[in-house]
Amino acid sequence: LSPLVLYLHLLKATSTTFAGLASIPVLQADLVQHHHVLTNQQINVSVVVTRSTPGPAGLYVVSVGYFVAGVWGAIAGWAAMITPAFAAVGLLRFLGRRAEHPRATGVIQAVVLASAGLLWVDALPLGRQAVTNPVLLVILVLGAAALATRKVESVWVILGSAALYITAASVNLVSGL
Amino acid sequence: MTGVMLIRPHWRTASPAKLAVFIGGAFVAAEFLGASPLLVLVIAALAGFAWPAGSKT
Repeated sequence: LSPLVLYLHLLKATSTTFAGLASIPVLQADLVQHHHVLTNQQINVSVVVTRSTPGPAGLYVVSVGYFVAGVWGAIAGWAAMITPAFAAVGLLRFLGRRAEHPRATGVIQAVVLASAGLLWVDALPLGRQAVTNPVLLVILVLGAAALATRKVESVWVILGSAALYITAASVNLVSGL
Repeated sequence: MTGVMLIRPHWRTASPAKLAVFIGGAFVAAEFLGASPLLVLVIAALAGFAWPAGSKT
């Protein structure tokens, strides 16, 4: 894929969803299933890099762009990430208070909730690839429970998961790191 | 993890019916009916327009 075509694919994903990582299903369908230029494991790595470093969740498209087309791909990802934000500034100026209309917020809420449903569809193959032993399954369940029941930042869940896995490896519950 | 984080802000503001219809509907449409993610999002947006935020159901 050329950087321009990659930018258009990434833009399609970032501009049709309203939350950072919600664009994963669209990207997965386009770049993994259709064009075969990205793997599920690379998406996993991109998400982990983004969630364990400072910055918005949507930054993961920069990593995705890098995996697909190197530095120019990363630039395409960055451009695709900021384009909807700049467009939204102009749209909000045009729409004004109408953006707070119950129907407008209903559309946003519906798309975000549908994105969550789509993410769980993608989470199944991603999870099957990542969860390769019972310890990882326990870590997955504990992490999801922590996020669902407590206002904990995802970076702490990632760091806690890493600490749990290292502990399990050090007492030979799982094979080496 | 991301799915949980996306739903969390809407856990209390959206009705249980809305959560079930949009999350479950998107999951079923994509996983079992093979609908493309973009199509699911467009249909969800149309349904969200017809079912405004703050309505009782």
